[in-house]
Amino acid sequence: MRLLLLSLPLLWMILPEPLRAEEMIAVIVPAAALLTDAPSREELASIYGRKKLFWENGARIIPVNLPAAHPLRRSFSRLVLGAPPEALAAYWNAQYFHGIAPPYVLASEEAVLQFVATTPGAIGYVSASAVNRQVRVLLTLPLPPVEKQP
Amino acid sequence: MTLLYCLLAVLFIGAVDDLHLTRSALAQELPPPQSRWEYHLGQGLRIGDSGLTLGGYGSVRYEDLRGHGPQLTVSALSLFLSWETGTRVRFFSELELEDLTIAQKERAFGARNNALELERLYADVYLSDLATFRLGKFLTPIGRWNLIHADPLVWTTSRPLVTFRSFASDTTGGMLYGSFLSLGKDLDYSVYLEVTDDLDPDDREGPFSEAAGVHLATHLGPTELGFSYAHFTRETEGHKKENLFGADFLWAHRQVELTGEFAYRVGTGGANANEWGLFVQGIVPLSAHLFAIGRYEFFAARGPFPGVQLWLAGLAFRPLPPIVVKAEYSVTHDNAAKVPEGFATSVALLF
Repeated sequence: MRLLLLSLPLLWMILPEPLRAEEMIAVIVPAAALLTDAPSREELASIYGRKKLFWENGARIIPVNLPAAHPLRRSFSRLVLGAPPEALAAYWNAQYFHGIAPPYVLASEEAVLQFVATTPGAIGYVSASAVNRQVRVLLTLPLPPVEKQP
Repeated sequence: MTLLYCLLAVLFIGAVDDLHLTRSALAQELPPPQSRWEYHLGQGLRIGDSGLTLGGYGSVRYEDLRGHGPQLTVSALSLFLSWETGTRVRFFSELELEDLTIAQKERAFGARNNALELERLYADVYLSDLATFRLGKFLTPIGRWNLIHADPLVWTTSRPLVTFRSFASDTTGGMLYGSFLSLGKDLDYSVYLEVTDDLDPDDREGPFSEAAGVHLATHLGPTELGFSYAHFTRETEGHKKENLFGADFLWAHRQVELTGEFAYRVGTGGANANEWGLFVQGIVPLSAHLFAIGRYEFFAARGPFPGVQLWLAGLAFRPLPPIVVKAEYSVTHDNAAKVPEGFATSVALLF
């Protein structure tokens, strides 16, 4: 038993990065969602840019974000939208000028899980290790290296 | 002296730039709608969970232009009403009050050129991921500036001539727009047709009588490239057929930005009936919220006169995304067209 415990850190070190659950971002939808295909990264960008508005089954897509300062939001934004949240301010100002609102923001991963689980058409993202049975993982994304704070 | 005061004011604001505005102060942070009414700066007033949002923008401008007295103007006060119906149909309208003079050298609290105008009114029908159909009065998709011309969204108080002189800023009719992947690149398109100018009773800006056009845009890394073509007639130009060819670009990296537009309008009636212009504008951050702006413009209006050249240098302070304070100074060369030049400063707010 002691040997097993001692070997755990070693196992952690030799595991390839994508296999570390807490270093993956899980893109989630309600467990009961009737979706056949996972969206590509480009489709995710369209969803979070409020260009793609409906699922293939006709349901309205309701994307949710974490707060702009949340590390997971910052990683997701850079990975999917190609820029940190503050760099997209001009884009969202322009969208507001055309009457389009950005995705809703929820305060925590728990709130995202709760909202996605109970809202038909919702899509959100949490740490892979936070996923529960009330949601379904559409795809996972590797967490990029930690950004330097400005 | 006024110029000095205004520049000092902007520089002072820039100096206290380290306000440590938190990222959570970003304007685009909206929780899901509640049953109660909620107001968010830069995102408007949400009327409960009805899908209705009331918002807008406003700007106040002070100008001291060569050949004109100094004047203070409410340059725009615009109200948006949008309705997300929860279906594939979405409505949007904009009512605008323009150029209400508050004070001039000779007189105070007067009014000049002010008119309440229905700037936009349309319904969007989302047909598929590739196409949305827009019906009503909308901004003409020529270049980039015209589509985001609201004062809080642009870097300068004045507007480059090529972005509004050669075409009507809005069109009333139908437009199909959307984006799709082509050769591995995102291609945004807009195809539109003018069917009436009945929503333009005030034709001081010379609306289209008949028009059809297309705008294409694509992303190449940090660069966006756009191309415009429009075929139109305007009542103010004697219903003569005209063709406009345009190109626009935006290159942005971190907070540095280079943007430009070009348009060539081919009229009927010889070389003097043609008109063309361009501008190139650069933005450089001086700190997190203070930016320096430089712009070069050339515009050759129809007629025998040589084209006017215009150089502009300015500063813009953005303490928050929906708020911008600007100050600029412009000079011209070969200004036979009497294009305004001099000092201008403004405060603009998305509300």
